[in-house]
Amino acid sequence: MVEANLQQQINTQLFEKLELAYFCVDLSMTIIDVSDNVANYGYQDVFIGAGVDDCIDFMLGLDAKTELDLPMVESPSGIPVSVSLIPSDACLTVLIVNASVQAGQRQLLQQKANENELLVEQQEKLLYQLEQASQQLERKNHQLEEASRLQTSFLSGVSHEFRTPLTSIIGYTSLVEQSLGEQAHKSDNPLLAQDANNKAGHLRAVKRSSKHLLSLVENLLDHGKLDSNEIVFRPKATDLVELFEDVELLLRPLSDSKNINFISKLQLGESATVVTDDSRLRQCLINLVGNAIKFTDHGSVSLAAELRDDFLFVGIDDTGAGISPEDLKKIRLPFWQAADTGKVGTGLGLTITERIIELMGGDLEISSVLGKGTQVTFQIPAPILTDQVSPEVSSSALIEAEMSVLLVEDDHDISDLMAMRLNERGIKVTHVDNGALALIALKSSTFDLVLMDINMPVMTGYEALAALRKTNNSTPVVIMSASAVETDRIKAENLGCYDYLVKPFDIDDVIAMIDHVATGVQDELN
Amino acid sequence: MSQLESQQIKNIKDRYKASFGEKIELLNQQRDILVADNAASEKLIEIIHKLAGSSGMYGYDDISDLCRLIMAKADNSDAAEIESSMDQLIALFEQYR
Repeated sequence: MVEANLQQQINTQLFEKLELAYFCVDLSMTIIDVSDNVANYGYQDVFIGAGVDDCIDFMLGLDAKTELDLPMVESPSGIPVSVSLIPSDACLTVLIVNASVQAGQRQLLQQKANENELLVEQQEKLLYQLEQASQQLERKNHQLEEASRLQTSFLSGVSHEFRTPLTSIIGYTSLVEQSLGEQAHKSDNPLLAQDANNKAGHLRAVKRSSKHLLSLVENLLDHGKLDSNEIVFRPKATDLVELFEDVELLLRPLSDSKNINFISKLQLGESATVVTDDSRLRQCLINLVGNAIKFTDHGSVSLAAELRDDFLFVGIDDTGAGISPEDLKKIRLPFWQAADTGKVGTGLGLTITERIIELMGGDLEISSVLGKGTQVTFQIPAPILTDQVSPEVSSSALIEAEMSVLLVEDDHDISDLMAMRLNERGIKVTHVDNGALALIALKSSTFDLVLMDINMPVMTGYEALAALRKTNNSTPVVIMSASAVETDRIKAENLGCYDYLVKPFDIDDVIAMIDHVATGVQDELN
Repeated sequence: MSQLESQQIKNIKDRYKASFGEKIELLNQQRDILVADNAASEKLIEIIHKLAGSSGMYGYDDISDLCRLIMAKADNSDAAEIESSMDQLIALFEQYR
């Protein structure tokens, strides 16, 4: 009874749910049994006694011994079916099952596979496009860098060309102004004196504008140098009290002229001599305090400084117009200026200052409230000089290393001054006035450094340097020339010079260079 | 010591300043040659080149800058322009003398 029920359930499952249909053929391929539902799949004229080849297309060419599974066959009704051929001794049973679900799944899988393939293809295409875009971006970047370099080089070139005539304008203006002042002073005629005074006043305006233009040009030059990493820092013993007093002395008249209270709060202690690049620090302070005064019309500007743990902390507070949060984001960009201040400038001062502070190992912060004022703070390393002998920091290394320099210069005005200045720093100087004598001196004596002019009688600096290098003498040679032409510098560098100094130069530049060589000599001795 | 050194430097600077008369004379000669030849001579360029270096080293930046200007003009300017700058240079030396 139980078995009958089970059989009934199996039948229900097989014939109703799986829609199983079947037929059997004998060895001659004649149908000997067939289920009623075969017609549901569109197989018509399937009846007992019929030849299977005539009514079932997939049976064509098969024999009764064939054992085969056909997982996906399209039936005449269009329903996908799965067919199994099960041979036995006397007959071949063929089972047909509705495979719509499997076909659907298969189609879905195929679709997924197709989609995946498409995605892979798209991904590859995107990667290719990305690579192309990245290459293009890199090319553009190179072009931009080149354009920026050219722009900087152009600006530096133009600024340099401007500086010379501007200096001349300022010089001449001062002379004429002075002469007019004297005229006014000496003149017995009050009208003429008044006229001279008026003219002197006009010239002062010309000088003020020229000086302003010169400071803009110098900013452009500094920006160019910072941009191309050409700026050189020369740390030396610096009295901070003196430096801050200088800055105050310079800027107080400006704040006084605007009726702004200048407050100085210095906590520098008694021994405020530190090692830093004084001229760069001064430049930063003048820039920041100058800006604070420039953008403050009422109230005060305060400059605070504290020396602590070998660091100099500086704060500049003002009660000026302040900066909006939007502008605060852009304020450090080169050439950027707030549109509505009505103040003139290049928009480079802060950029230069921040970069200098960074290069000095420091950090600059700005906070501001629109309408209330601005606070600028920065700190830089400033190691306190404990054993101070002389403000010239380099001399100790030089004296210890007993540096000996050969000075090759035919202009005695220059050679005498240089020799004296170098002697003051404990450097032994031997002087000759042409390249040929320099070669003889270098054959008979040893020098730590050669300072050589180019244009000299008998043998030029270039010729002497070339001849020296042929003898395998590796003494560092610094070329000194009044020519700032790049080709001259390149020529000297190609001949193997240690450095190229453009006259006039600061004697400290030479000292720094000798000190650099001295450090190497000392390292060798140690 | 430092005062003595400063005095030495001062002496050498005075010596340089004292040579301005000589330099003015030399520049006047070269200016005349320039006018006569209508071109800057090698000697003139050499003198200006030296003055560009030495004057700047002694702190006369305006003289040094003007010398550089003349050096730049010597390559591509006409004699009249150079002459005008030479006059300015002589005037500057006179002023400091």
